[in-house]
Amino acid sequence: MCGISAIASHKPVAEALLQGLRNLEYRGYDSCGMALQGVKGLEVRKNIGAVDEVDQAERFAEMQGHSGIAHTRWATHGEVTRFNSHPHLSNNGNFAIVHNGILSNYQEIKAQLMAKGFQFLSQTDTEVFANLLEDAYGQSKSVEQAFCSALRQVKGSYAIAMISQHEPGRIYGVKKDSPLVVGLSDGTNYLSSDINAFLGATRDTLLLEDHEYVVLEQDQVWVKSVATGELVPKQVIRVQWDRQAAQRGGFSHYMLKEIFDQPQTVKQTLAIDEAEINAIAQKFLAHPRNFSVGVGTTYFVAMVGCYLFKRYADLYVPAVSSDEFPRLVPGGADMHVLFFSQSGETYDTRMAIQAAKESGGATSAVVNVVGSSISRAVDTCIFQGSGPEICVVSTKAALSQIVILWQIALAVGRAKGCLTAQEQARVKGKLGEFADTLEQLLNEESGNVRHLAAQTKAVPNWLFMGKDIYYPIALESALKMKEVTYLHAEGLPAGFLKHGTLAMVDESLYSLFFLPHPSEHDLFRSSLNAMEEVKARRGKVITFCHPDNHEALRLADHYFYLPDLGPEAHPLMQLVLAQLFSYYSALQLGLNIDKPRNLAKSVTVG
Amino acid sequence: MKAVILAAGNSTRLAPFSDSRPKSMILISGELILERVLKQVREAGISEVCVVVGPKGEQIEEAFHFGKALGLKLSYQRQEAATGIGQALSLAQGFVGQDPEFLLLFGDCLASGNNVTHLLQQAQGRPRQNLAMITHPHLEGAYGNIYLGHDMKIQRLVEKPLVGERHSNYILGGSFLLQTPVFQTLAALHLDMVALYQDLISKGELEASLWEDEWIDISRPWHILDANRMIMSTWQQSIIPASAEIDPGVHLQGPVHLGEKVRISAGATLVGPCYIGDNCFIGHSTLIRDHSSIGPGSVIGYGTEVKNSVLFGHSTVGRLSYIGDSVIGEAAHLGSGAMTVNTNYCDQVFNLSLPEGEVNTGRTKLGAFLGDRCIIGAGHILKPGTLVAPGSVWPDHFTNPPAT
Repeated sequence: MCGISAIASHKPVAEALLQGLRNLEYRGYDSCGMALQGVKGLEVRKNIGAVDEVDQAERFAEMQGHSGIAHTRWATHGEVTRFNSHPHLSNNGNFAIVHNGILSNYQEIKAQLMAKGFQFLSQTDTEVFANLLEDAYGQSKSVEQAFCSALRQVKGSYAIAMISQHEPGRIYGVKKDSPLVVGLSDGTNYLSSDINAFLGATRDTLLLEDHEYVVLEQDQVWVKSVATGELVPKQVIRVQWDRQAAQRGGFSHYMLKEIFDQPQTVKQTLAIDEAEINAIAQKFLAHPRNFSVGVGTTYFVAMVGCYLFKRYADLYVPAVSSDEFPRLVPGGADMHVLFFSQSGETYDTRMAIQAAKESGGATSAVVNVVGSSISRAVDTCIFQGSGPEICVVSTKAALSQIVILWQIALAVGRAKGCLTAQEQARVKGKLGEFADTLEQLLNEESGNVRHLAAQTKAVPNWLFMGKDIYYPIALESALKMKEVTYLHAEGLPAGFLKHGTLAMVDESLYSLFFLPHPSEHDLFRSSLNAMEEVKARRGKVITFCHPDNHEALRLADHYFYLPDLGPEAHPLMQLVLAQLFSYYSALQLGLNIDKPRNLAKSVTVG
Repeated sequence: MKAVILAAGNSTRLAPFSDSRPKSMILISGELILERVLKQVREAGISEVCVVVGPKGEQIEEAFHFGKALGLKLSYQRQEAATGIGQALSLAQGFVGQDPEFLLLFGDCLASGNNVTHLLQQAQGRPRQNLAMITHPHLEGAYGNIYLGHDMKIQRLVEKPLVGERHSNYILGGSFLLQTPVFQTLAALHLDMVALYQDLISKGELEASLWEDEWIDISRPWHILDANRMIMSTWQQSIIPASAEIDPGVHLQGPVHLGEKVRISAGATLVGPCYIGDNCFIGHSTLIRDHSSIGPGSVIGYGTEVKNSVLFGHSTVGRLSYIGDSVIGEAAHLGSGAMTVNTNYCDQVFNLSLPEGEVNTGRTKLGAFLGDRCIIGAGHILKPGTLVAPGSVWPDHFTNPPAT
């Protein structure tokens, strides 16, 4: 895939073309180049590398001219070399071409042209077309006729943009099977592989069909048929979508895309090399005092860890919020701190690392971004490999961190002798089973979650409750809800309710209960008690359970379905469904899901 | 690119309306269903459209001719018998011709926004692919059957989910971008559309485009009310043409769309969103409540209340009547004092006994559904869920004089 951008304007176009290239860079980036029609004739600059690298070497912005073509390449024919990068000039330098696609009969045309004395600098099919134009122009002395005659000779798929010394200020374009769109604005017209290239400038477009060519000037655009040369009437279409829509891969928001990414990212984290997990586990064993530290969502990840270390390694590893850590925890060489950060740049966490290191403590981290400050600052680091998370609200990165932490807790338990190898393998297998089932669960439950969110969108106050490991899951879910819906959602331990918060409960208050697996018998019973307390005050109850769980269903006004995968996967599935519930609640409220107000992805300030 | 719209379906489940008109010729919120679909196609930049029509297809041809009024180039193919979607699609092969890909739309699916643009947007800048719009079903409990992967590939389609089995929540939304070679595949699969889906899915060649706004597949008469509500809910502004005659003392509230030469008499209250078509007469002291769509040329008599109802047009509703949660076909006549009863006072969902068995309507408010050209005489009280065949005549209802 390659990207074409071309502009004819009453203003100099070099800067705008460069911006177009940047916007198209996701289409390919092994080399790029530009050709402008300036006062001194056609000037071409091109080189190998990403757009900004090439710009540093070639300084595109210095180029002069009011019309030009640009190209970012992802090689299909010929190696990645400067000669093979676009634009290509014809032998006499009068025609400059950029091209996507493949001209299937270029070898045979090349042979004919070589017989006529043309020379070729590159191995590309594009240069063949440039010289074919020059040859045709020699016969007709009309650029337009030459363009059409050349097009009638080539076969294959293509989108082409061309400028010529003979007609300064004009751009020719044509498409067949490869995309090309025209953008229209006052005094400037655009031609591009997709609208991303000019979306900042205009939303008015003409869509070209195959075998139609377009002639662009700064004030005028003609679309004609290659076969007949007759004008084709076109309607101006105003595009509604934004630049990122194409990159969201069909999902309307990154948040939903990233929720759907989770089955994959969990599988990736389960495939992390055991040596990496064990390296961190060893640190837990080597130090008498251990802490796990994060802030915001990552703090709740650390809290999940508290319960896991207790469960598998009989170890108390306090979770501390990064911003409080330096003031709360006395330092020392007997201390090991495990840090969590998605971006690896979180200010509060960096400060906590600094405090831990200065006191002589050992540090390790789980981070998503390779090469980030935190990954470089700590002694040992695991990269979670969850892929870029673009939605400000973290979903897949948080879940992956929990799954990594789960493996660390298992490894510590194993090394301490609290756990047999079989048990460790069984639990890991359960997590794998969770990843395998997750996609199906998302498919089967999303509609129900959406329907419920539509019914409850006007509810301003929520309690999210759970016990044991379900408590930090409730906290994290409440944070998600707050972040995307701006509604008040309070996470609290279910046992806490009757010691105060119960006073709030009436028929207008909704509670979301994160219920343990029925096999966790005592925990399950005491969670049900809390549900009873809410129900008795006519509060509304929503919970997660299997439909055979009649005790839970009896108390619930609504429920989300959970398959029965045992106690390990139980909290994780609820976390994912709660993410989905926050997503659909925000969607119903018409909010800016991927960029909630007042929030930034990476909080790098104190 | 060209578009193929399938509007040949027999849709017997939409009786009494489907008895006298193709489904796509139902007028909702001031637009025929097909008109709305065609406008979306044009908005997406497509001008050549082939509509595959079925029995009564001449109504469609008469309404849209060659598409000039909509800025389209329309052609038609006729499917003589109800021989399936695959066969209907195959009729458009010649129309699509050498184009590498085409748009396929089912003419009975409505979305709250332009799902055609949405679909094309996803195709933009990517290698050619078969794309299917998928969505959540509009009714709770109506099960879907599409399983979606994280990469937006459709993983499987469960054609007939078993009762009691867990199902996906996604369904096919009746909009596709297909590569032209599917015509050959379809022919090889004996024109079986489901087999074509399965074939594409098994080869990993069917990608999904997720539609997250509202969407409705109109298959039952009361779905017309859902669709009407869905469309009107997007209205933000009122439209009142200069030719509308509005008496003093008329109260308008919310987005109200009036047609040309509408006349609204004193004392009437119109609560938006609502639509009153061209040349309608709204009598004194009437109450037109939100989500009502009154088609062109209708007369609403003195003191009548219309609530959450759709009238196709050219109908007369006599004085002091009540039309609630109902759909009234074209050129119907309701005498004075005709009442639709739309509630059962206990908030229970209505189940209707239809020829094919008990049907859950999913609605706690359900009025009457009167086919085209019905005449319901004065003084009738219609019970919830009454379906009246087109052209039926119910004589006026009189109270007999007491025996002397």
